[in-house]
Amino acid sequence: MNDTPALRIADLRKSYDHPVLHGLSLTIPAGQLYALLGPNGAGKTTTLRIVTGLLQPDGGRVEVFGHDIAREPLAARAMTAWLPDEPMIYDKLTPAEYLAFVAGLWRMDPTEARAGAEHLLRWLDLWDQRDTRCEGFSRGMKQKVALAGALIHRPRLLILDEPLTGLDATMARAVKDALRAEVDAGATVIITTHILEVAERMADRIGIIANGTLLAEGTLDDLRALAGPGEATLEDTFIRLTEAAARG
Amino acid sequence: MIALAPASVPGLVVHALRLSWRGRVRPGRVQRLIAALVLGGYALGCGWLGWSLRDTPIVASPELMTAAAITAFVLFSFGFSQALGHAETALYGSGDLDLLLGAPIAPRTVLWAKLLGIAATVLRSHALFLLPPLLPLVVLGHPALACAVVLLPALALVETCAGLVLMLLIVRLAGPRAARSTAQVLTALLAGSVVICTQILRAGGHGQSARNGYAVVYGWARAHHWGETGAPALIARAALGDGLATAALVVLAVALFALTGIGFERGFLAAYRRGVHTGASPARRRRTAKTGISARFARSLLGAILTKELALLRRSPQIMATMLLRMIYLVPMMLILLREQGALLPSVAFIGVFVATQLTGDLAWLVISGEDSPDLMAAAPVAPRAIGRARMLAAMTLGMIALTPVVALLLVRAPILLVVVLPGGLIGAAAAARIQLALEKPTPRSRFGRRAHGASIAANLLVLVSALVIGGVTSAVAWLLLRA
Repeated sequence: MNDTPALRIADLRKSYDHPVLHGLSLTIPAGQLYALLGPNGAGKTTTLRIVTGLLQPDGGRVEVFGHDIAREPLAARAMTAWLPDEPMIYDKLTPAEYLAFVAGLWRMDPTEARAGAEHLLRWLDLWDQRDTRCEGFSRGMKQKVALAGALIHRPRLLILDEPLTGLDATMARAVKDALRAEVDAGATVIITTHILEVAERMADRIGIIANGTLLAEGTLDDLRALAGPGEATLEDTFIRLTEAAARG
Repeated sequence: MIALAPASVPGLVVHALRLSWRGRVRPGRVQRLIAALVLGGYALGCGWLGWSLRDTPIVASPELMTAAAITAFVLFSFGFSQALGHAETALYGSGDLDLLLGAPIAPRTVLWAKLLGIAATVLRSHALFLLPPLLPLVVLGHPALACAVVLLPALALVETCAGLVLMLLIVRLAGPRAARSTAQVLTALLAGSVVICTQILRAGGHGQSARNGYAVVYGWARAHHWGETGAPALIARAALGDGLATAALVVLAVALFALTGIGFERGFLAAYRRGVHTGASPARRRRTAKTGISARFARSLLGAILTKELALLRRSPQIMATMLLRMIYLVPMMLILLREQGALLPSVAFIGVFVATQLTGDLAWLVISGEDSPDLMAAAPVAPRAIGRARMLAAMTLGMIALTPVVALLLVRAPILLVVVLPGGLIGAAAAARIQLALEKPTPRSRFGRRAHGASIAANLLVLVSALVIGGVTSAVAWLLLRA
């Protein structure tokens, strides 16, 4: 079995007008659903945007399945999908047209892409709307279209920033099921979320960052153990760790 | 400062004016300086005109009445266009009707506030251009022309009525979603209606020797004694200082405005509700494929970008209309100027290359700067240079379509000229696309019609210069070829 991690981040640094990432290091094994947690401004989105090549780091190294994103950006991007909290879709395209466009960007074989699009549209319950422009869709529908776009090129690493924000319970369940199915099929999924219950229920491993550094990482049980004896929840652990980090 | 109750008609009008003012494109420092210089120069020129004419009697001669009636018509076309645009925004664009109609305010108050807000916005534009020439004339010896100043609000009221009624008619005939696009296209066409009229008149053989469009219309109007009788005469007399005519027109305008407000209150609310029912920007259901997926899956990056851009363009009638309108403004003038030099075919060659270059420039801006999902493109496993090349090619491919009629004409009349026109068009299109790529500045596509930042202005100017130079060279070579 190949032991190359899905994502390896070493000493990642980034500043805007103030430092955001202070030498963040993180390794995420392949085939897991990883939840990256942290308070607002912790550096979660900045980290993910660097991994997807949308931001240049000031220093450090990032590898996606062994491909250094600085040296082999196209190879890294070819196996990565990025789903930000605001869906990257075109309001005037239909879901089917959007998928065709994304498949073209990832240079998929048209026959394979068409079959994949049909499967995804049916699976995400978008089939009846496949030829309807996205402009009238609800936020949840748009998020599903964007998710289909992220999945159509069969990424090995799927990165989602707050994927459940603004979704109703049914939509949120559909997205969660889709992500779990991807992991079961061998993909690696990284999500950021403010809903700790989602991380608690879904994630194989959880990382907590604050002030641009990794505070703790492990399975849910590992993190609970960090909170000390008793029936600590992830929320207790999260608050205890982040407050301690805030106090310095 | 008097505090207006927010739920009153005046309070809501001030609110609408504030939103409209803040919704404009904010100019940069250089643009503000240029605007101040232009406005200052305009005001000085108008002051000088008022001073020069202080002792010249202004009487309602047939010529002056025709000129006044034409000016009123031109103003009406612009004001009508503005009012239609604002009515569309009031119904579906501003998004504040949900708030206003959800508040404990009578719907009638909201409607009147909206109508007065539209009228005030239109009046502001008229005042900006007309008060500088009118006020010095009034103050420096022609007090009767104050009637023209009084006519401006009346004109704005009538334009508002016309704009609202047309908007409601469009909603009724086309439905709320198509109404937005239709109104946007009509707004652009109305704004350009005077230029279009001059071209129609020219095509009919009028004013061939006249150098500007106004002279063409004036010549036609004089020939038909337009402005000397009937409603145009009443307007002209009022504008030239007839107090009774002015009073009559003001009373008529106010009555029309009141009747429109009362008569179309239900229509306005119904149009708003239809929009809400289907969503402010509701989705139109395309014919759905019975089986499978109708979307085209391209084999190449260029194919994917081209397919996407074609779909987006097809569904953005406002952008198409803006591009076509620019051609309506530019091309006939160029053609006439060149035709007067007695070189029709080289002129056609010039026009073909000019249009292809200009159109490619606009399309390249859309494809390159007006990318609504830049993160998706940046995250794709394609080298930025390859994406740039594909976008350039997509814009060029679409832009070169503009050359097709010229190519068809030349195939029949002078096939030899294709030797210069095709390369000329290609070079022009490539230059335009390259300029847009070099000066790329990501901007939402919806800002296409209001590209007011430095990079866009510079790119547009460079594309225009390129179009003129490459078109000119092509035309010159074509002329030489024909002589040889």
